[in-house]
Amino acid sequence: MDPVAALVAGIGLPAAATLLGLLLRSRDGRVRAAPALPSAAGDVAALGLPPGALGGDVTLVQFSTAYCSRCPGTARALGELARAYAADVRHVEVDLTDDASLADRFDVRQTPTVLVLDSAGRTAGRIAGVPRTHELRTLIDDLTRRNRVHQHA
Amino acid sequence: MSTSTPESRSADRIAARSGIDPRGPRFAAGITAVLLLATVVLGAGGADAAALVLLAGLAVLFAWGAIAGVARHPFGLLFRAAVRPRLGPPTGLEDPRPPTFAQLIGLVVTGTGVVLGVAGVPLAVPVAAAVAFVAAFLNAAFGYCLGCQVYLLLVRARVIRHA
Repeated sequence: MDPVAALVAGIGLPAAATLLGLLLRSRDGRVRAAPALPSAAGDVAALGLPPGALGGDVTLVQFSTAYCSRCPGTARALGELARAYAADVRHVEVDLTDDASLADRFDVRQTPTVLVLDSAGRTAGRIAGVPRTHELRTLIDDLTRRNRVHQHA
Repeated sequence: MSTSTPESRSADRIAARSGIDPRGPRFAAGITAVLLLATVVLGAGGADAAALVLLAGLAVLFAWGAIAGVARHPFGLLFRAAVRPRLGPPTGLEDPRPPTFAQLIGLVVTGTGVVLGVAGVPLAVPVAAAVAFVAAFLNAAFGYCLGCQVYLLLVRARVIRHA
């Protein structure tokens, strides 16, 4: 037995894994500005959603796979969040297992990933992981308020 | 993927519909992580034979979980028998397929370590155990599902296609 190597491995590995977990947690679910993807309107068409699936004010497009432990819970939470708004906010779930090319086109690297679309179908924000409700609400509030101001102007 | 007989497929469908307590797989991942860390410590300390035997045992457990499903895994049964009665009801039930897929990933990683270990590469045993430990630890401590991300990568690589 080499007690020093055993001790280093026994303490170092859990410590490294804890740091990795904290790093992943600190990045998970943050609302980020959408990356510059080519032609946002065309992208939305690529989702293959039926006409009328998009919300009049905001659409939350959730990318999932069948083997994603946190996707069903995220879908429930986003559905409830969308229904709680008086404005036309809708939640749409897209299973990437059905069409892997969508994962390439939207550069989805983890599930769930959520796109926040504005009333024109433009990507206003992007969330990798389980969305932080507070940050997501702030963005939705901002987008729906902008629409109301436009309508009254 | 995880099943071979029509009977177990239908049992999986029933389990998929009703769902499992999400704390079960996390509890199982916790025990697995401790055993994997023990394997790493033994391997790093030079106790090659003991590390190889322990990793082989864990590979058998991963195979059990991948084939029979996490609900029928020994640690899953232990959770239901000894832990769940002491807890409150879960906030929600989860699909058992993602953690079952994670068992398959665990089998591939630990199985590779065992095969290389038997073939005379003793270093492969603690390395494979360390990789599997990180995945099990992240699941147990942070609820992070590394297998789910691997699944997406396989979909993107067109390894997995929808039936």
